[in-house]
Amino acid sequence: MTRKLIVDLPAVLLVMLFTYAALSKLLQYSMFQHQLGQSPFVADYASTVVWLVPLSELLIAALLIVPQTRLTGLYLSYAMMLSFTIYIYAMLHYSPFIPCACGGVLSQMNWNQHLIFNIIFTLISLTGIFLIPVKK
Amino acid sequence: MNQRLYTIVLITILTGSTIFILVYISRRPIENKHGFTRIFSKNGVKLIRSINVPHSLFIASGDKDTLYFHSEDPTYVLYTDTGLNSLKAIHIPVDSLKRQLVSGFRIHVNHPDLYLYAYNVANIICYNIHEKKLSFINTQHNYTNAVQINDTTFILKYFTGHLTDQTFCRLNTNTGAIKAANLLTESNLSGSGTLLYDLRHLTLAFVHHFSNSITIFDTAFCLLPTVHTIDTFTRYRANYLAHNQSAGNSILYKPGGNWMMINYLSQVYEGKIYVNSLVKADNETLIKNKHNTVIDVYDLLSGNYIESFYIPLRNGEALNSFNVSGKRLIVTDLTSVSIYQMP
Repeated sequence: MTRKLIVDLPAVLLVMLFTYAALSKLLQYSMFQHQLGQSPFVADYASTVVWLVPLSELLIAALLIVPQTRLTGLYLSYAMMLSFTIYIYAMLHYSPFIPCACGGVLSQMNWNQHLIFNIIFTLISLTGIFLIPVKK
Repeated sequence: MNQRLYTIVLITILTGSTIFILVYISRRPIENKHGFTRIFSKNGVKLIRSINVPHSLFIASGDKDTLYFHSEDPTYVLYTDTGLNSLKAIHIPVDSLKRQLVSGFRIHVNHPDLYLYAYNVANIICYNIHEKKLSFINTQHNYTNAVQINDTTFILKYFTGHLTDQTFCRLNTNTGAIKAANLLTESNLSGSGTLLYDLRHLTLAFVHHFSNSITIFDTAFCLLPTVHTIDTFTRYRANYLAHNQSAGNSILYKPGGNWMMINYLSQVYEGKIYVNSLVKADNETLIKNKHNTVIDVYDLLSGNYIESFYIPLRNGEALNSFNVSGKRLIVTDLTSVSIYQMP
């Protein structure tokens, strides 16, 4: 029972995170679009990314819920969280200017806190991948 | 288990490569040669004091004794002495408006009055720090820039209501009357920039973010000859992706071609315009540019370029704001506030 809880915990945490994040982005669509438009890295693709990211998050959450697709969901979670993490690191170190982090998803965090948060969830995804028993 | 390990390595490589390509594409225009050079001051800035701060701060104003900062949260400002000895907070009772404000605001302190420029709620929110009294000045339209030119007058850059048109207007806070400067209407990306006011010459300067123009005019909206920054970006290179909605808060710019921000932060002080340019000059190296950000200095009235100097980037972080006052330069970034002696 405890082992099952430990195995399921990463997926549960990620489902909560992705669902919350996707809904926040969709509910604050204008804000999210505005923020993407300010980003020096993705402004060119803002009109695509503004839909792609929340829909991908919902898709991943759905994959994580279904036991048969959980491993795929965890791989995609890892890819998503890793890309967010590298994106923020690049923003902090390679962007000529830092767009406002105000409003939007998890707006109480600054860029550095967001980076740490994403690293933690990237590690949670990785842990989840290795906790799922290998089918023989 | 090995298969999972290989999959993770593959995902890591693919993700890293994707972000690398995005960063590389976005930085390419910065790293090109742009056909201009800078003259650097012989002496650089000298660090006097620096402190770490828990949140990003932006300079709200500074006088000879006190420095004020605001954060990305509109419900407080911080203040400290010029030695940065201890930061204290002043609460601004706008908690109920916080969600509307966070997407766009700036705070200016003219002690004992504090002005919260609430761009998206068509108001200037005034707070008297001594009396703890809050009041609202209706600006009738949403706006993107504001400066106070005397106790009862503000100049705003506001949306006229015709799609993306923006123009300047003078707002009298006693009567609520707005006088627009129709000749200065802009309906494109040149509308993005920073409005500055030089008290000494009673002159306003609007430094464009996406082109090398600086529009200069007096408080009666008489246009002075347009000044150009030294880079070669003579026109903005972007298109609107979406127009502003009725609430005026959903403008999105779509960069096209060699889009890049030219003039990021700027300030005017004692007849000089200080512009934090993001464009590398041909006589600068990428390494120098990576560890420093450049401030170009211009004469406000003639528009002549005077010189440039570097501000070191602490931890490689871009600036949030800077302020020149006498021989003192105050700089904020994501994690610190620093005071430098000017060259």
